[in-house]
Amino acid sequence: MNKLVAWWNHRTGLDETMHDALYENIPSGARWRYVSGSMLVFAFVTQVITGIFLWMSYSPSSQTAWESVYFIQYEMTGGWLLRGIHHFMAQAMVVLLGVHLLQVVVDGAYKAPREVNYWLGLILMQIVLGLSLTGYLLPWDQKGYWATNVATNLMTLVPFVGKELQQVVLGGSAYGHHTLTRFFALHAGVLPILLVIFLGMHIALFRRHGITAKVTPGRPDQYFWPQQVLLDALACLFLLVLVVLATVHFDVQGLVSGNLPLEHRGAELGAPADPSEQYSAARPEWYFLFLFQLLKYFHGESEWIGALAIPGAIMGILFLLPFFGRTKIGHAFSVLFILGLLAGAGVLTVLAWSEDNFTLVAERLKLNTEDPAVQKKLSIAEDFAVAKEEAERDSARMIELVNRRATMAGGELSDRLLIPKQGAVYLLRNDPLTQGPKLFDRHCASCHDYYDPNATEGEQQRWHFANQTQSPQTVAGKNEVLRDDKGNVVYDTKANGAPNLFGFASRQWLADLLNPAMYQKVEYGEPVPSKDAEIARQKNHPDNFTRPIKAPYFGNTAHRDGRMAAWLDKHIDKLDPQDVKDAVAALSAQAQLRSQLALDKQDAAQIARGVQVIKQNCATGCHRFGDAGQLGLAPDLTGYGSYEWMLGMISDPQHERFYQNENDRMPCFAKDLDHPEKNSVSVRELGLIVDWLRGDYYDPADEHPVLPHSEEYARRAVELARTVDAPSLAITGSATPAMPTKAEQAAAIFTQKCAACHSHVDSAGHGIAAKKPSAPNLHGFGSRAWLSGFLDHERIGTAEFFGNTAHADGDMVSFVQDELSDLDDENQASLAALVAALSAEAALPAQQQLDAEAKESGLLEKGREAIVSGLGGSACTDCHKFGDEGEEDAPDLTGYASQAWLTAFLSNPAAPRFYGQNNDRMPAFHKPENGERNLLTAEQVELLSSWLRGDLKD
Amino acid sequence: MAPRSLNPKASDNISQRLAGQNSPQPRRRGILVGMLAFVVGIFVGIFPLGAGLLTFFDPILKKKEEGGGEDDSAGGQLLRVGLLENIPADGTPVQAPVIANLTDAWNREPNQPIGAVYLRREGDKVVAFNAICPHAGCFIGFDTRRDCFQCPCHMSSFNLDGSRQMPSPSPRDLDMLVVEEDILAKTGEVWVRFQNFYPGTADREPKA
Repeated sequence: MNKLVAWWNHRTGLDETMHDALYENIPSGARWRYVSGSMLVFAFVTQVITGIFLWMSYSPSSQTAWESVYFIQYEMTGGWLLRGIHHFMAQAMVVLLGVHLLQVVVDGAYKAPREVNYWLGLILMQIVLGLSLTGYLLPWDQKGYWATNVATNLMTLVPFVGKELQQVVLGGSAYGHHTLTRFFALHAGVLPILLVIFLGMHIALFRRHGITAKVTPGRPDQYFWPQQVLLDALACLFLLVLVVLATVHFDVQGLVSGNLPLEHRGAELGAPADPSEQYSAARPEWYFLFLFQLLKYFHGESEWIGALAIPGAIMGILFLLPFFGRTKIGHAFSVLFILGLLAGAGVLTVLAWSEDNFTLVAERLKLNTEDPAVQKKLSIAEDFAVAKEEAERDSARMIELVNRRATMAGGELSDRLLIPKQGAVYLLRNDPLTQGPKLFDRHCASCHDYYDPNATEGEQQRWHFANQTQSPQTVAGKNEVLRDDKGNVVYDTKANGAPNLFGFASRQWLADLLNPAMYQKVEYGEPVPSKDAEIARQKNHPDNFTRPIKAPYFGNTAHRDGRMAAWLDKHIDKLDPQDVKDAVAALSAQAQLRSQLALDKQDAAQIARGVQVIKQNCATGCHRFGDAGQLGLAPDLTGYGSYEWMLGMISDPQHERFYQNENDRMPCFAKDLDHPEKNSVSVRELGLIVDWLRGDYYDPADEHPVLPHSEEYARRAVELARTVDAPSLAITGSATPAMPTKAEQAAAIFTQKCAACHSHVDSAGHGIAAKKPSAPNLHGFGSRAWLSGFLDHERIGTAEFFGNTAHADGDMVSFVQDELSDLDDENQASLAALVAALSAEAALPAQQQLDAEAKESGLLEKGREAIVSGLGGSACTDCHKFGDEGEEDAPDLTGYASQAWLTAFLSNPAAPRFYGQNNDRMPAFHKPENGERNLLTAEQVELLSSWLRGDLKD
Repeated sequence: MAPRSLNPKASDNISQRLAGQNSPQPRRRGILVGMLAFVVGIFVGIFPLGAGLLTFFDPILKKKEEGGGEDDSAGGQLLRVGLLENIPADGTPVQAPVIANLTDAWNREPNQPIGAVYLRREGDKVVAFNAICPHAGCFIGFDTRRDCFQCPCHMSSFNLDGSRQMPSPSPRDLDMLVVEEDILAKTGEVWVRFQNFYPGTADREPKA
């Protein structure tokens, strides 16, 4: 054995090297005070070891840096520990550097003959600071990104080469892949190699000059080994324990029990860097805070003094200290300088901290919060606290998003979906929970509120948007508020603001909407004086009288006094309260809100009843609801509040399905799907807002979590929302059979093809109202009632009949108005007979009985005679054909309104037998020669005729 | 003891030299050989370093080449950032992202956020500011309590018109961007010439 050792030592000289290393003489023996250098070496070695293992899992590029660090931190076994040690040891290293430097200066170790070694030490310090600066950026999180951004921006202040220097460091003019590759090469390659080289020289020179010993007479000399080595080892152990404790955030209990919470596991990792995302919590690592704080005191163009000159001067003086150290006074200066430097940095660090926590400081010091300077700092500190909270939330949200799972067809959860190729920032940018409120604030909150009206006072709401204000009127030409006789300020009457969208389409929201008091409610707050103290003193300055205004529904819009309000006033009280409840449940169910899914399922019977209530009350005159009612008068209730509906509404409220002409100031945010660049908000962003409003965002606690809708899905939803006769007019909870009845089919045809001009409403107003009544109401067409109305001199000229057609000025209207206005009793009787006879031509099923009686009594005979012989001066047959008699100038009255007549008329009203040249805009719905271009098939025309005649019963 | 080579084949000559004895070669020739060795040594060392430095300085060497492209002579990329109707009439500024093609070394992606602007309405006109602080490049926020732009980093505050609230660490007012008034008047769309500027100087200088 000994021989082997001897051989090895002869070949390698290892024994000599070891001897040289270990048997260095220490005058007066080993001491604790000599350990700082060894600790620094230990710290560096730790960084090299942990750094190399981090390197094995790290990938520097803007799409992978954060992602790979995430993987190390949260997925790899022991990853958080490795990263934590690297992170906290780096901080320990900076502290140790300070201690080491202080010690070297205080003990005079910087003086001759050790000047060069001292300088080498200063260079090492620069390298270590360079390592921490470059390392801070590598995780590519928001914090590192924005903090390093400031540092590299300050580089441009370097005279002459500043901008070039920055570009070389960044690898271009902006942050990107090459910034990371360069920072990483510096951090893991260039700087450590330099550090090793300088450290080698540092230690060599240290050995050359020996330790700067504190000699105590009588204390015997010792070799480095073993006494000092033990002390060094114990110090390093202490350092390691401290660092490990810092890594678990001093949560020993958690560590021992094995339940260490995520936030106690090593270094934090913020949300991924996003250059377009405001990040107000950016701060450098704590040991750079003093430099950060220093920048605040140099104003305007003197910035370079704080950023470069002072740090440069300090380094310069540090380099010169060995020259001062030659004299006793000089040494005293050196010691004072280094102490002053540390104290100064300490004070600046405390200041930086206290400004970020100024709320606490102001409270503790009882500062005057009226003072504008204090107010400014308070305001900034509050924003900082909010930003920090938001940053923490975003970083926690990222963990949820990376671990998101999709609900699969069977209801089971998929594997974790992890990070897509586009990078983690893509997940956060498309997360409705994160982006929805920001986008709402940007695009909607100037009109719409969003707050929980039932929240108790003082309760913290995560989102609270209530920005609506009302301005006072001003005296013409003066910057002064207008006051009425009593001295009260007169406000703008122009309403400003739109409904509170918190819980939109939920049962609560709809129940309140249908309450006339809530519908029109407006609340005014106390006027808020101007924030400008100067203006606040002026008693009549308009800026002091802007007052908050809250209108949860339509109180602030033109709809306040619209038809909906009128309807509510008139009808809502008369409805059975249970019906209203059912209708609310049914309408709310259309939204399919996730928060109500269980409720909707449970109340299926109530919803089915509610669907009927809505059909009977809402879809008769104004709204469309599935296949009931029609479009054009009020927003479509089909799919109300659903993803598609809301996207359709927001992207184009003026669309036929929504407010159309009655839209009140709501902008069309994304009207043009073919030219997305013309829209004020992209469909993707609208989708995020809608998902957020509806609560459709990933929640790991959900049994069946949802994932954000894709941009493409949102676009298709908008298209679907704009399809008027959507393939699925399915009503949630509707009891309607899959096949609509013939009557329903016919009504749908009427709604689509006829209701643009014709109404079909009974005397009570129920039925299908025309969008723009320009042709006769066809309800009961051909019946005695209809004909009596038509031949009534007061009614024929109204919108109910020919009022809005070209026939208003025609012969028929003037005939009725002139000849039939002043009839004697006999002529009245003739007219009644005429009506009965003409109506009998229709052979309407509802009049079967009446017609039979009329035939019996001879009324029909009398009437037919009247048609031919006339009333007053003229007869019908002067213009119309009737049987064999009469002219063809006006529609044939033979078989008037019968199935055959009506079918022929609808097919082609401009045929010679009907209106001929006099036809006014009525389309020909089916001409055989038109083939497939026909508006209706022959069967549909038949169906429509039957329905108009009342042949089809629901 | 004089150092001795461990190489058993080493000639005495070398042993002697190691022992500090005079070389048998003429002195002048030794200098020549030494200089040659030095030059060759430097060259073989410098060459790979030079090759590396070329790519290292690529960002500044290639700067001029890339300068053209989408930036035109009027300064900045002309980009659409919003609609007049979406900017509050009362002069409250709104933040809007700037969307453009983003080139990051080997990646090029369309429609990416490349920065942000604050838009403010003054009557029918729109004023646009780059949201980056001219002091050290932080992202400026809008303080609704104090009605001013506030940098979250070093306390610079700016009035609604972009001017500094003195004293201010910032060497200049917020960087105002050119809003194309013709387009605004005709279409109601807000187009700005988007540019980033170097922070820290009183005169603004656009970034490449």
